[in-house]
Amino acid sequence: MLRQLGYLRSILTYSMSNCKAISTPIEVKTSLPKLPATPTSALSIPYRQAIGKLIYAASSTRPDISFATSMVSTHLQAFDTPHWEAVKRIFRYLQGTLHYGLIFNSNGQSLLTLEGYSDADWARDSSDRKSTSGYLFTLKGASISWMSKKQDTVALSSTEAEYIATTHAAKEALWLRGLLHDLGYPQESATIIHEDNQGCIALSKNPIFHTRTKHLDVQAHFIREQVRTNKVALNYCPTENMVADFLTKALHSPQLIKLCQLAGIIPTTHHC
Amino acid sequence: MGSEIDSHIRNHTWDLVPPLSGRKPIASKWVFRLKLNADGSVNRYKARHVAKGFTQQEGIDYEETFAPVARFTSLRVIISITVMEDLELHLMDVDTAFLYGELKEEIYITQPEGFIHPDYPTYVCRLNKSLYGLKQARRVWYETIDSFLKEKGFCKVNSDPYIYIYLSSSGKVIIFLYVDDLLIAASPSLLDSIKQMLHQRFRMKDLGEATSLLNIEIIRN
Repeated sequence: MLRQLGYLRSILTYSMSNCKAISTPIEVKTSLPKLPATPTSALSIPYRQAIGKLIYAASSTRPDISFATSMVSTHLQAFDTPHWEAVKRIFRYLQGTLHYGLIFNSNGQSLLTLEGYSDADWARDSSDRKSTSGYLFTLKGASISWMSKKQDTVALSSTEAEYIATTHAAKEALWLRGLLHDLGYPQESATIIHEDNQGCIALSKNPIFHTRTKHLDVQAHFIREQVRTNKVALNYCPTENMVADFLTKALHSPQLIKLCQLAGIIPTTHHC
Repeated sequence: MGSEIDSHIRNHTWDLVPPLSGRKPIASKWVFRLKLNADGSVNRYKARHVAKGFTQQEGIDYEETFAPVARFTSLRVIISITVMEDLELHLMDVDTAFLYGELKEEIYITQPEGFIHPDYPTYVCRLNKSLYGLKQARRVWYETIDSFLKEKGFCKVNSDPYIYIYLSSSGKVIIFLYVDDLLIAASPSLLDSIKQMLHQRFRMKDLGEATSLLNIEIIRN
């Protein structure tokens, strides 16, 4: 089990150490305005320091705050009270989940099989209509790698956004397969990446829908190559079990808790 | 501060020489730090004598500086393997790791404040070994530990330059290098011999079973 109880306690500063806990790190459908510059009244906010601390937690043991953290961190250049409120909400969520960590189980089998989840939220950012990609990889049910990132280009359809997201996931899958191979755990079959968009799965297998996909960049077709050479395989997974969903959008509490459990992010009973 | 100076002397980090004309020594200073445990309690107070690397000039005082950085993902993959194979997971840290490497360049620094030689106050320290704060310090240390592990039969993993693996009929050892911390995942039968091997070459602290690394708590049931 990996967790950061001590670190999280130490970063609950900014007069947040006794804050009231809240059940999700970010409110559903939150949209933060893009500002031209930080107003003078907001200059004293320790925005960047706070986000730096959140990023450390998000990338070491807390994928559940990755999306919220990545959203506030796109406003490092210019921020105001609403952005700071969003940051404080993440701290309030951490306050209630200080004991959460990543669980690693041995469950008897001697196979180390890599499994992935890839998801996208189309045109999420209302200011530039760019989509968000997210992926998460597990080994025997334990989360080992994840990412939440706003896409660089504007996708014209949800299928296209998903397709771009699978490219990121496939790149990570290839690197992880190489690492596992080097450590003595070669992945004999293609790495399954769960995906909740049927159009995207079809597209990864065949060059269909020509009129709707002819504009896609070469790099987006990277995934097709990996599927063809049997390095990865996309597998349909209904949205309610799509673990990477919390890396692309804000969720309501019951769904977030369910997905966290599927990703092996659970509270620990061990006290120190 | 005294123990830091002792390790410089033991290590023969520098020779005291008269200053060269036309060659300005790199300034040095003391850095004091409070080391905390993962749960936030005080571990120890630390003093370190460092070079002000930002005053170094490229081509004169340094050449190569790049040293790779480890990934959290690799750490989590090693934890997965440790759990599945029921390996021992121990942590060791190298005392004054950056003082080990041999320097390729000729570098002069000022004498440490408070420890200036009474008979030769104007002399400067000509470095034999690398020093904290030098731009190339991390790289020199990395080269030192890298060649040591390879010499002992470890293989560097292609996909991550901070992971080394050793396989034998009696088990496996995986070493995850984080600057001067070594996370060792080893078959129980190999653990002691690996620690001995490291102790023979470096002055190390054996922190026993790994309970925390990089502000991450590791809890095993």
